[in-house]
Amino acid sequence: MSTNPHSLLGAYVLGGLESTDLALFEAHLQGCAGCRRELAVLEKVPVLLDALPVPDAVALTDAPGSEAADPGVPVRLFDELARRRRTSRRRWTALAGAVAAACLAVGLAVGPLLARPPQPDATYSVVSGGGLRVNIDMARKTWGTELAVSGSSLPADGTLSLWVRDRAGGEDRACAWTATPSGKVKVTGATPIQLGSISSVELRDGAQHAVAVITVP
Amino acid sequence: MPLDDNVVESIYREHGSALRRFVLSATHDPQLAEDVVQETVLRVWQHAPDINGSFRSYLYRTARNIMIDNYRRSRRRPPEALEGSPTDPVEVMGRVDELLNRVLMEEALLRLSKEHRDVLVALHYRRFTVNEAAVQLNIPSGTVKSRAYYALRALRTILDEMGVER
Repeated sequence: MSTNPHSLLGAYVLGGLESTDLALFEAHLQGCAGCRRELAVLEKVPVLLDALPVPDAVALTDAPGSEAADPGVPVRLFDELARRRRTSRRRWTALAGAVAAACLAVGLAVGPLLARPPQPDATYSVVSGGGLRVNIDMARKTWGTELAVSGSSLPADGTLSLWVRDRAGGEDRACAWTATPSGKVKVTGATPIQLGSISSVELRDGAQHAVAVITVP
Repeated sequence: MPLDDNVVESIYREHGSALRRFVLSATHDPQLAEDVVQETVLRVWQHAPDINGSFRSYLYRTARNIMIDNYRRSRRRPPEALEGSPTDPVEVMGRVDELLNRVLMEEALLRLSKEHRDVLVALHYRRFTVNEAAVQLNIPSGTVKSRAYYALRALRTILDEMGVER
């Protein structure tokens, strides 16, 4: 019994044709460019199939159809995640751009420093090209977070303040002080925001412009 | 940005056991395997890749890279740290790749319909002829032929989606 020779291609590639059909298909292949093209694409599949040992493959015949056919859920989640990441990156870039003129310094964690009593739970430092330097030790408290600030080359006039932003977008002023002529300060602030919820800390000058931003990873 | 619990949880829920099985087949050390699984999920979360094809095959590849990295690092340690582990790097990495190809193919076959998968297994793995497969699967031999063709095409598409080439 023979059918349309095109339809023999699959069984041919998989090596399942009996002699009559095999001869038929090979004769057909000589004259059919379409089948030869398709053969070139499909003939590599059996080599790939061999990566799976026979017993494992045979065991799969007990599996229900298309069991793993739904990769859609995590892909959507990841699209969403990628989108949110892009948004948050843009937000920070925009902020940095807006305050760059005010000699903004942006810093990241330098890790806990040892032998600094009482030992902070996190330490962040930021240094700007203009020499402004801020170091913040954060300590976890039952009531929130304590922020020990030391800085130098800060703005020399107006009221300076330290603002803490939480991950939900809310913010809280942790402390404020009058700028010193020396540009130096050592002050301790407090915020009800828990250490783990802090997304950034900003030092602002008297005009409420950020002069230093520390983003907490 | 905080670790997105929902995403991480969903990766574990959907792919954790398959990923663990793959890693365990390569390491045999449950603690080490768990570390690799965690690092895989973390790395995938950190990179938030744009995935067009199969998410699971992406996870497998990431785990494979982590295992190869770990292995390279362990090779740089003093020789005593290597005791009990195979020392030929080509052999070890080849083994990991072999396992990767195996799970990718298993994954691909599971994404076929049962009808297509059964015909592929009968013809390729069990070495049946078309007529033998027809008897075995209790379908006409013409159906075996046409399913063999469509199964192969579907599989090629799935493999392309998963980024499996050769």
